[in-house]
Amino acid sequence: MNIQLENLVSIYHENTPFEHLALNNISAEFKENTYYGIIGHTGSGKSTLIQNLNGLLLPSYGRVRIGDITLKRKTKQRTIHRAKQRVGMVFQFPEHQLFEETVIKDVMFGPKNMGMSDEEAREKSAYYLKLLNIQESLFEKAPFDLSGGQMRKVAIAGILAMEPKMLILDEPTAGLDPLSHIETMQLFQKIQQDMGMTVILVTHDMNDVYEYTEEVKLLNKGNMIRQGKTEALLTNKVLLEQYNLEVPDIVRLTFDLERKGIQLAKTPRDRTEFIKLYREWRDAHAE
Amino acid sequence: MIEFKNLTFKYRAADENALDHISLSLKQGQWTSVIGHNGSGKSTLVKILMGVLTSYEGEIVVGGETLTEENLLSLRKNFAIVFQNPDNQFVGSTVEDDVAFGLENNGVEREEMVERVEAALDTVNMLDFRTHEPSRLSGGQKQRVAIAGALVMNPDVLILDEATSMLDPKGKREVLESLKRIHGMKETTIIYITHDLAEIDISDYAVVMKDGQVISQGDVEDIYKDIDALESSRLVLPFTMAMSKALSDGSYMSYDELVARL
Repeated sequence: MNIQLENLVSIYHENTPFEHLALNNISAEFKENTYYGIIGHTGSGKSTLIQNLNGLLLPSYGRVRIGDITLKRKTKQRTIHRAKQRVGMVFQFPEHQLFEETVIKDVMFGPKNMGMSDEEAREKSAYYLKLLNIQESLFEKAPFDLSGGQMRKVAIAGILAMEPKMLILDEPTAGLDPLSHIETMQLFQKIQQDMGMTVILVTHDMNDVYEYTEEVKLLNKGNMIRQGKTEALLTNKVLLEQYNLEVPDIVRLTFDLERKGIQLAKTPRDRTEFIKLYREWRDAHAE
Repeated sequence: MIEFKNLTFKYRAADENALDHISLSLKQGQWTSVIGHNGSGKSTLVKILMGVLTSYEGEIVVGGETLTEENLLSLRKNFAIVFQNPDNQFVGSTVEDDVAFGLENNGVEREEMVERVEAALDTVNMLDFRTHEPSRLSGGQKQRVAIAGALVMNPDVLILDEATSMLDPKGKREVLESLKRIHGMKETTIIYITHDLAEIDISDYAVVMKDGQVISQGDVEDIYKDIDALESSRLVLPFTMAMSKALSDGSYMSYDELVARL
């Protein structure tokens, strides 16, 4: 299932003195089984864009196609509901949305809401909880008795249990300590690869975008500036500086070494690859 | 000076102690970073210091006086805290109203109030935004206003509880710059709670916590030297340190030094 944005325009408070053009004529495509990053400064339209991808906002003009569903200015609730089932959204601090008496009930809420039977919902929920390393002994506990990291996993399981075709992650690591940050990002990568899902990551963390995503879309002031391969866009220093975005650590170091005359075989994608390529260069240039 | 003597605390539903026989002393005017993984006990320590959690074992001594339920309120007046979420700590409709809130509550004269608010906003470089609406500021700007709101009360101790963990890199830098300026200007004791090893290099002293215990404390350089202890505490080495460990001698160095060494 692909998502297509066709001349999407999003205006807040249209025809009032507070009118604000948040997205200006955006056309873009999100393909199956691909990991995307959406980057851009605060106020660039990232949040507005992702809310348009699952019907939380409807286009002011233009359309959003989610497989065979089309969302337009006046789309009916029932259609919007179907769009929401296809595109799962993990907000910042998803654990704040937990509300049920037990872990398993909380995860079952979404699938049951979609019409699954109790038994089926329980089976799916147990599967995804286990996938996220939440042990069965915790299923009947109150979600609020778990640690912050476990609560976040329960909330994510609740979204996966609805088996969306696409997953949107809005700053999914905000407030996590660095190790939990890495674990969370690796978890989403595993989900993306194992389930062949499309994942869209919205974040300020350019290191994560560089390390995990395949394609990037760069927004600025509501306009789509650039779309393309992650390694092409995030190694474009001029472009990043122009839009006030951080150069990923690895890219910065690779460039600074180049200036010293150290030319690695290619621009590495993560720390491990950097270390390997640098050692290769060093060995090749050893006296 | 603040001393924690053999402090132990357990949450009611928990099996393990959240704090396990902690002893620490924080000198007046010192910038101390307390670093640890999620659940290491660093925020519990702050909550006890602020009087939010009270049923602990051990002793806390502030300026020579043991903290008790009776003197908690009067001692705590010298403390100010800035929290993690920039959106959860505003009460005023403009930046200056917000910063003035504490002074207004204490019945400070108008003229003095204006002066102190200006000075506080100037310190965090937010004077130009005095008439702006807090909700429309960036994360880094919001946290600087929150710091100004704390600073305006002239606290002896300024506590920052993961105050930069929700900010983008630019916001982080802005906040740290403001703190550096405060540290240079005033005798304020700074307690900086963080889980980011890259952020402790500007402090005078660092305390590493793991599972409710202090596993090491000392000058920042000494803390950085013991890479194994840091890695075994569920901490992640900052980029330059990780690269230095893999490709150089593993010593702590700035980014520029790393580039020069490679």
